Amino acid sequence: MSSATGRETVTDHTALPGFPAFYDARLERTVRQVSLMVGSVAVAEDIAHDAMVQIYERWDAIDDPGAYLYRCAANGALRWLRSRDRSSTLDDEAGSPRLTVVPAVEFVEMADALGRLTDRQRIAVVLRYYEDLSETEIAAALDCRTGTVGPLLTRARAVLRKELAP
Amino acid sequence: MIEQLLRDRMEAAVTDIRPASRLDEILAGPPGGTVPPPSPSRQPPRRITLLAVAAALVAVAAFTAGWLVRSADRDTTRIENQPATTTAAGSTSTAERARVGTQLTVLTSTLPKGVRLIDETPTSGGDGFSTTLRFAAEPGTFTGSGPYLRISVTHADGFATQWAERSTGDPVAQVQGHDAWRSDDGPGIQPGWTSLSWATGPDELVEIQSKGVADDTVLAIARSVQIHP
Repeated sequence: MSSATGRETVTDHTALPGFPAFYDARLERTVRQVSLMVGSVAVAEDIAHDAMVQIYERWDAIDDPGAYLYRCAANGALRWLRSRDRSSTLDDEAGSPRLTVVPAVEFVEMADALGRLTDRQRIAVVLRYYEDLSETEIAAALDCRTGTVGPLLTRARAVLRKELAP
Repeated sequence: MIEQLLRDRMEAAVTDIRPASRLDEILAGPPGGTVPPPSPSRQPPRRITLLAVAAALVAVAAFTAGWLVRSADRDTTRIENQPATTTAAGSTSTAERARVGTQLTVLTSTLPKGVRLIDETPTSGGDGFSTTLRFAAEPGTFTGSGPYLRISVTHADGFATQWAERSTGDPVAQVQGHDAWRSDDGPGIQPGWTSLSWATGPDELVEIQSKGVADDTVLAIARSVQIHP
């Protein structure tokens, strides 16, 4: 999808499928997905935007924009989860009135449950059960071996079974 | 069984989330010009382009002259200027309340040099609504060193009361007669950002999150914020 001459990449957007159509089709789903990962809609909007910027910058060099979007969004969510104040927990944030977006009750409850997981478990669970990705696709998004994903999901399900039990 | 429960609960949790599009911001390219311009096939017709250029020039003139600058349509990022009729100083304001959210006005003279309104995001969900204005020198990803500002007003039953009950320490200032608290490490605040928050009543909370902006400047901005129900 791209050609390079020396150090300069030549871009021909007229030969590419439209980024705007991709953006319109994927934005809402991506923000929702990342909201589950980080427990904050406002933060998710910024992470999704950053992911879309990365895709646009490499649009003509990406073979599978959908898979690349999952990877960018997962990386963005992981970076944010790792850099945030570890003294605050996700359930604190989900119920915090500091949120600039008013969360639905269902969102607060789900964020509370997901907050019991490790960062990578949380990302994997959202990609598996919200996005319906295979373990191979999740491994690509998390940049890990496929064999790592199964145990992540197994441990996460055990925690969530207790958290979400009626 | 747990798998289906997770699918159902996650879908229900986020079904109300409807983000505003920032496609125009991306197509315009981030700072540094690394993103190629839109192709001719994606450029708007010439007549619309000319109108957009004219509108941009008017907007620049309005900022320069210190007029009232107001975003006119909640569904778009279109900006248009109006003569100052209610204030001598320039201000930036959100749209008239159309679907959700609250109209905000901020004096542009209080903003750091070069910083301007980038976009506004009205959001509804649960049993309330919020409006967020983002300010920067240039459209971008808001992941640099700033200066960045996010001014939001959130309205929901008991929202500010709940916030006040969780606030700790002493207020750092008075904003229009209301106690204001500052924090840089609380939940919902990204690393490197600082939050200044105050409640205007039991149901309404105003928050300014900033990065790379002096505390005194943020306080001046806060004191210029006006909310129009």
